[in-house]
Amino acid sequence: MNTRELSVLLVEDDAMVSGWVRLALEGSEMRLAGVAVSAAEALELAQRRHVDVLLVDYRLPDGRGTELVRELRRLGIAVPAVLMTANEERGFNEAAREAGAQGTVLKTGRADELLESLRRAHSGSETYDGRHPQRAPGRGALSPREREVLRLVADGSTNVEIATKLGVGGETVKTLLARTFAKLGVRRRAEAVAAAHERGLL
Amino acid sequence: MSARSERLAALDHELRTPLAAISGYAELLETREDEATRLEAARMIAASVERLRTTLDNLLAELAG
Repeated sequence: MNTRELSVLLVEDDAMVSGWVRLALEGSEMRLAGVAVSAAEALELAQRRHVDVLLVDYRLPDGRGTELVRELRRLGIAVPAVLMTANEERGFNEAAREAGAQGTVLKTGRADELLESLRRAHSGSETYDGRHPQRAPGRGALSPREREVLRLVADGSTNVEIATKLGVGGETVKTLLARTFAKLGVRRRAEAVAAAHERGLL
Repeated sequence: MSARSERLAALDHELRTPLAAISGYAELLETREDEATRLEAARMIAASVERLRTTLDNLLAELAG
């Protein structure tokens, strides 16, 4: 068994929670290597400092934890990441997996649950908290093409502009939008953009 | 996400975060022996309760609005 101390970078803006995490790790094989209070600070710290595992809050002051993990992966930072939330959220495990995280953990205040989740993520196992309800059927991951359309919608492009930019017909754009909206479980463009931001898809 | 469901999700988070903190610090009070940790846990429980009270006050004011 590997008894080397594991360093954990916590990304959490709530001092009440980070104080608890610090104490919960005490006495275990893990130590808190640092606390970032925003996604921006986490990006900077994660690039500068080697850590063994990341524990990332979902609701950060400057974005979602899923967006942060996606950005870290884009930068080639592959350190295992566990996303945490205070509430059970439908589809959260799927969103975390799509963003590139290895697991999720509910903030219940149980130190053993937190430690086990971090251990599993560090050992290379997936560790998704089963209390998050599964994403509703039909709301699968977006294809690259659907994400592209969504990005253009978020930029304020009209259907005609999207068709021109993608080099496709107006009907194809409508079909792509309908499929994207169905997967996100929304009916309007503004809702789609909000949902996409919420799930870290943009 | 509609404004209403966004507000509900935020409220859920605002209520559950201090609740989780109270559970977490209470567990530390039960399981840890060093005085400094126990004192910090007790203080944080009091702070979490205060935060819950504020959230509840704001919610009631909003509903009465």
